[in-house]
Amino acid sequence: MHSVILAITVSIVLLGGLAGCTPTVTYGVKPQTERLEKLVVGQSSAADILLTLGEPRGKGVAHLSKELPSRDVWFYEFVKSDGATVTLDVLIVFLLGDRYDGHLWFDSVDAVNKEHKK
Amino acid sequence: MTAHTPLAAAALLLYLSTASAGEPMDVHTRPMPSMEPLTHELVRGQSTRADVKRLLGTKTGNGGSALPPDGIARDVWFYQAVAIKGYAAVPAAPNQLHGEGYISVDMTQQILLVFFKGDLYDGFMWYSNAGTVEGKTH
Repeated sequence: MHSVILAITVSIVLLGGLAGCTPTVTYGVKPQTERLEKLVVGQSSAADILLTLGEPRGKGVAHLSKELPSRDVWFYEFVKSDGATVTLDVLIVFLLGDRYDGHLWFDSVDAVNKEHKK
Repeated sequence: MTAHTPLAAAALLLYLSTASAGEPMDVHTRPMPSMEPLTHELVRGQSTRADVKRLLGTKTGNGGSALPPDGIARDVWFYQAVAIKGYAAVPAAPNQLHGEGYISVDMTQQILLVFFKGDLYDGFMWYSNAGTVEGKTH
């Protein structure tokens, strides 16, 4: 998958350069954080999360404290670049067993600067 | 390293689209704020959003959390710095069976999340990649 992303990116850039325009590249699907309020800690199931937020891009495990059991993690990410800015949206959903147990999300739009190397 | 590969791909796009005619460029977002206030000046449960803005500067993004075990809703301020110094296509080694090469991106990404409970500072999380990101190409 990673190789595909890079290959596509380079290809688009090269094609865009030939056409004299700056291409926009997106990766992933924008996390629907506004739908998090539909989920209830300890009650909503993994199936509910899937229906509410869609398929995650990746999965993992979090061990936040030695007093707490490990949580499964579902990872959602969206990246967009238009040549002048980079947009990043990340959502991490925690599951305890089969149940929703919390979340963390953040998003940003960063402007890009360039300097000639001396 | 493939930890931030989608961002690396976007960053590579930025680099390639801004570095014209093969001129070597440094491409970067604004710099990361100093970490010093996080360990020496900001106090959990006492410092305010205004204190954080004064010491760390204006955030570049927003977020929210409801983390175990308390599940309390917290606002998140997001700070990010990305710097790309170049890239290189690394051809496949002669003894590689499938002829895969690499694109090595010299990119550093730092992310800082600052948490607020109500109006008060309630902790932070900072992380960074180690520098070079590599992706395979066929």
